[in-house]
Amino acid sequence: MNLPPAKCGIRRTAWFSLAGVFLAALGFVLYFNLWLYPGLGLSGFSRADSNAALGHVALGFARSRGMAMESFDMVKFREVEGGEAYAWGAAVMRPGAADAAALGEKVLVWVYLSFDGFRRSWVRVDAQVLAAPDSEMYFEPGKPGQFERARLALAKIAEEESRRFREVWP
Amino acid sequence: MTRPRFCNSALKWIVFTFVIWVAVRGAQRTPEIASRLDPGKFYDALVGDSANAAIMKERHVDFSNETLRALDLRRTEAASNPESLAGGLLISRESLDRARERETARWYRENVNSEQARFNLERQQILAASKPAEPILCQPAQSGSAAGEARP
Repeated sequence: MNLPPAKCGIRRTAWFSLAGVFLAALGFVLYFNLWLYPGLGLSGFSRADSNAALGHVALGFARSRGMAMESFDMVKFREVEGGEAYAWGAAVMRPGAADAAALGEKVLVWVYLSFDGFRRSWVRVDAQVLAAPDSEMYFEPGKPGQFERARLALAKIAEEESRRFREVWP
Repeated sequence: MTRPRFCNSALKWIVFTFVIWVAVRGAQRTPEIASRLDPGKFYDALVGDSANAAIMKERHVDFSNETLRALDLRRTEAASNPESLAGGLLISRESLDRARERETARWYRENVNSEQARFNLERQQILAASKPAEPILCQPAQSGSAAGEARP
């Protein structure tokens, strides 16, 4: 057996540790977004309890954004016979003092849940402020430019991710 | 070292077997054959997919509705309090109006899509009720039983 000499320099160890930390962080973010966050706190609501689940999710969103929730403008429950079930609605909220300058005095928040047959629980699909100032609906041809659009999109993703972390660990 | 030619090797039979396997499994998934292997399951899946699509399109209409309401909130606020626009870098009174026009056009499109999805669901339900395909390889469902029950 003619094995090459073992490589275990400090540089190699550092690279492997860095890669390990990066992979662990990536795995945690994936686990958080795909499994932990969507169903968190929703296991107690049955399939017929869609309104309560919607209220719970909207309240969590309001708390993490520093908003005061007032009521639901619209709530809907739809299901396929013996299959999927969906619940969605729009909640009326009042932004806190920090957000009021950008968002206005009153906003509508879209909340959308679906019933996961595998987990037998409602899961969050989407929650967002409608007609938010950074929304793509205000884009015009060439304004803002491509780099600014990319920056806005990345900023939105980062903001949503940090909001989720703040909702789970306030 | 001489290898056996492909035509004489065991590899030929392995490849041949898997090609046949893939062809059979693929054929079983075509609508012509799948609708005859298990008609109940096939047409229930068609109806279920159409129902899911109709629900999705209805949700898009609601999203469009609520987006328009939120835009109107912004517009009334901008009309009564012009400095409320200062926070949003993208937004001016004109861009709010243009966004409102674009979202109205989207609202019309979403309504058309939703109506088409409902028509499609009705069509699939009629098709499933008429059960045009005769089953092969398994017994037909008992007449009188509800859809999705007592399948062989």
